[in-house]
Amino acid sequence: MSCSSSFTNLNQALAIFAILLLLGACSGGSDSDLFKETGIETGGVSGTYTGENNETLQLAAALPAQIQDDYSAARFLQRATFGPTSQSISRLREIGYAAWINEQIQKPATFMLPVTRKHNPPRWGEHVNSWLVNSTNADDQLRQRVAFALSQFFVVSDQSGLGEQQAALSNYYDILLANSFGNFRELMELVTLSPIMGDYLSMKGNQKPDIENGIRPDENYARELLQLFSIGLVQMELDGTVQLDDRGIPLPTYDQQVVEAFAHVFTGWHFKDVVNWNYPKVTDWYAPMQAYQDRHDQGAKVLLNGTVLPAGQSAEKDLEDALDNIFNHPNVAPFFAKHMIRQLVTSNPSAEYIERVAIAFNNDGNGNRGNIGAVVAATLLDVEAINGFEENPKTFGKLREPLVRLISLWRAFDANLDNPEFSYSWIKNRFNQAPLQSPSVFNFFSPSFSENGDIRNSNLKSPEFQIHNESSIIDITSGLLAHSIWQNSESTSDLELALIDISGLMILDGEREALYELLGKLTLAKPPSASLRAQADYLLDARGHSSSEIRAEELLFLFISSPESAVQR
Amino acid sequence: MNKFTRRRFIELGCRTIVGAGLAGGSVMNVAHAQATGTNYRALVSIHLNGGNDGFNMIVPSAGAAYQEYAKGRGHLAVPSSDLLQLNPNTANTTPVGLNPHMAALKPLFDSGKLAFQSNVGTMLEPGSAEDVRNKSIQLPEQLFSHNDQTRQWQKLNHFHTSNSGWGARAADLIASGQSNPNLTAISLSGSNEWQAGGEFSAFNIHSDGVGSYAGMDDHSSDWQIPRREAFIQLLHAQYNNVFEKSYAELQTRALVLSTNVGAALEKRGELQTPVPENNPLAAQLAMVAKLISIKDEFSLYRQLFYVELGGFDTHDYQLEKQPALYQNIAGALDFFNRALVEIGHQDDVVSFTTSDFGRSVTSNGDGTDHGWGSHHIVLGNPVLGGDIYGNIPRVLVNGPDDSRNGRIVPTTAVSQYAATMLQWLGLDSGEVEILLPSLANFDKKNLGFLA
Repeated sequence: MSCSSSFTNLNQALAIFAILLLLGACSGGSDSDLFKETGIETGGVSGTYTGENNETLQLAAALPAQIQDDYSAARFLQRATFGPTSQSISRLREIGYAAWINEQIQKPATFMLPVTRKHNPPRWGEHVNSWLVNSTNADDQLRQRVAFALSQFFVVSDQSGLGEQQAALSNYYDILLANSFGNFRELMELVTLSPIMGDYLSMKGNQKPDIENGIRPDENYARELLQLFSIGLVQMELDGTVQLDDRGIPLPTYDQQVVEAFAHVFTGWHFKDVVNWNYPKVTDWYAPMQAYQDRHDQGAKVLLNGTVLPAGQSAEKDLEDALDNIFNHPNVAPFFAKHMIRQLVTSNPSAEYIERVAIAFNNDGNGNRGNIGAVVAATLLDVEAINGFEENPKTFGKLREPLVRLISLWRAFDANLDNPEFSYSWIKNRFNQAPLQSPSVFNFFSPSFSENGDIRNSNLKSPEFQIHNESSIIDITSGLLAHSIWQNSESTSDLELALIDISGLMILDGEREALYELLGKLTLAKPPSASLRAQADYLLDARGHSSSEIRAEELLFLFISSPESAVQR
Repeated sequence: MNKFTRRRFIELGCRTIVGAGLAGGSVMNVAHAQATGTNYRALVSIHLNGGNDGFNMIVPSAGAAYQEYAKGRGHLAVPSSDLLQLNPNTANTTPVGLNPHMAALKPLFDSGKLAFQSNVGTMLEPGSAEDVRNKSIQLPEQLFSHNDQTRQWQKLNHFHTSNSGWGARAADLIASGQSNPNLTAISLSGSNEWQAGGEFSAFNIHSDGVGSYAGMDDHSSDWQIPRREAFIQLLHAQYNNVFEKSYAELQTRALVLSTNVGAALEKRGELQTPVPENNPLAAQLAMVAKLISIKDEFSLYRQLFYVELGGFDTHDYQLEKQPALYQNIAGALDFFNRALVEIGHQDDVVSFTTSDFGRSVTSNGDGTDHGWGSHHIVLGNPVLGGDIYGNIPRVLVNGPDDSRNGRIVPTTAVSQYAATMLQWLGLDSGEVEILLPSLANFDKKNLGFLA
């Protein structure tokens, strides 16, 4: 099946095709050139966006911009960025969805490491601060949003011993940023060889069996790479449907023996240039891990689908072959497609939607497998993404992540994070989520989590609800109040925190329709409900004798704390 | 009936909140006046997140059994001279010692307040390691996967007949008879499958108590009242989208329950028993003790608490990580026992450990990998303690109890372990069998460690 034929809407098919051509043409930039532009300290970075293909660009740009209104644009920007702004809504409506994606893909990446390095030595949690600054300010919003989704796939966290590696954690995140529109296979390899990941899932220092002492290879990275970073536990159809055996039990993708085989593959890697394997004197947290052949298991290994790696291969060759073995498994496409759709668009995509994105993974239209940019485009331009709000209002969308709600507020109201003393490394205590601080490799929430009540009873998923409970929702709500009502003018004493600018609301004081429309676009991506309007009216009446600033901040908090603002649509 | 009860509760609760907010009156009116204080019982599930290495918790302490263990574990083995010899009331054939970092548990064991249940794990039907290797019995799905095995431990729903945890199913039986059903199941560690999927959502609370809606909690200041009123009224709106609706419901529960529980906790004050510092498990158990001590305010007579300690996935640095983990467990349980005495509920509470799985007997150099069966701790005055229940398996790589490469096949099923707990809680054997479908495959429906 060709990539474009599965799209029902011709314009969308053309748009995606154009983007896929562009991405295909742009892959394979030189590592060393890119290396100069990026903040990445060392190590390979795959080519991403260096090409210039005017022909395909023109084709994409020539598509009619069928964006109904500002609300539709805002909804798209909720998915593709950390939240709409008045400017981004205008730009998107001006050039249309597909051209906007093209434009975003070509923007230079904004990396974390240079921001982290501004404080030397880095402060505690500096990588968290850097992430907040870039997610809010960076112009390459699509890349930033995709990298955040990737950081919840290839999960590392500072919560188990990496807390002092602030800069190296930022460097790890930069690998995700650099490859947000790159190739999945290359990214999987960069992640695998990152010493941060090597430490997090104990592949670093993993060695061949020592039969005399009963020591066998560490299975940690092998298992989680298969279970969480690539194919998942059960065999799936292209559309994500789980394959069952004749008893109705899901067919597993691998068994314990396969995990053990991969554990043997991932032996013999450590920090670059360690002198002493057991007590490394040199700990290079930036360079990819290095192979040490004498620590690598030389035996034959039986991998997925019975693929055999012959005995005697080098550590590098075993690793390349094993990653190819995983990458070519049919599960990767639906597994990764589901993740990206759930991260960016909706918690409960149809099988058809998953299949369309999986097809783009398997072939970007240019014969390339694993083009993440093509997956992103297919995810965002799908008919279900664009029309879900109208066609399936009851179940389409997702609960927004607490961090995304905050950054969205900051973006919409031009928060100032330029103070060099800006510091919010404790944000997890307030929003129950912080970048690179997931409690385990299983991310902040499970894709299969289902909130008690209507959602669970309807067999729907609601991953983000897992970090919302009676305690955390109070903290999150209080946090939103602090950032809207308390941190909106220079009079606040706490200069370390981001001040938002609500003058755009104050100017509209007294013009309720205009206020509700503006807040609807920026905080709801839809017009406010009748109930929200009624409460807004009540609140404005009740504060009729206060200042325009007070009315603006009260109204803003009412909107951003409302159930309708908690949901992405 | 339940639907009605819940709706009524929320309505009542919200009216109370709004009323309290505007008039500054009592917020304690939610609970019906009901006879209290009689026959209270609570279970506390202590989840050791990541897969606890139970085979280093109690260890065969002498002779060939120790040698087998030590050979598998290599330099990760606890030296036999360090083990604290346990003398069970009923002689187990294998002499065992307690990990020295759990020394605080020994007095509890010796005084009969603490027992171990040997080698518990996810099993659908009884079988030997040979049966497992031959696949002649039905095996649990996705052995050795963290989230799947945790889910199976907490749901006991191997036959996919319901989408709920066994804690939630038990709570459902109890909750509808309680005035505040939403406080039947309480989690100190966020969402968990054990308490999920029932008619009533579990209530979540931090170990340091209920946070406040800062900026909306001053019920008398005239600038906060409209803010609070508009915020609350918006939660009562009709929402068509399921995510909006669920969010509004959660926020409503948070307002009602947190306000009421918060007020009761504030009135109650701190425990006298000092809480061990830098011990997140002890901090959670301290809040459990406080919550138990305010149960009468809410007319509760049966409760299920969930607490969790993380860090047990010791693939590396096990020698450094494990002592601290074990000291935390032991310190927290010792504290909790004393806290229950302080609040006068030492006879009413049973705590038990759960975990994703045990760990491999083999070493990967500086850690252990995912295993299967593992020893578990049961604590409380109702426990017939000072004993080790079930036979200690041969902790021998590729031995008779090993499924493969040091992953020991459980000799007690989680369903049997859970059934014992639920019978003590007051469910009859028929209810327990309905709640735990796989229990039917096991002869022994009660392991006997609870009076």
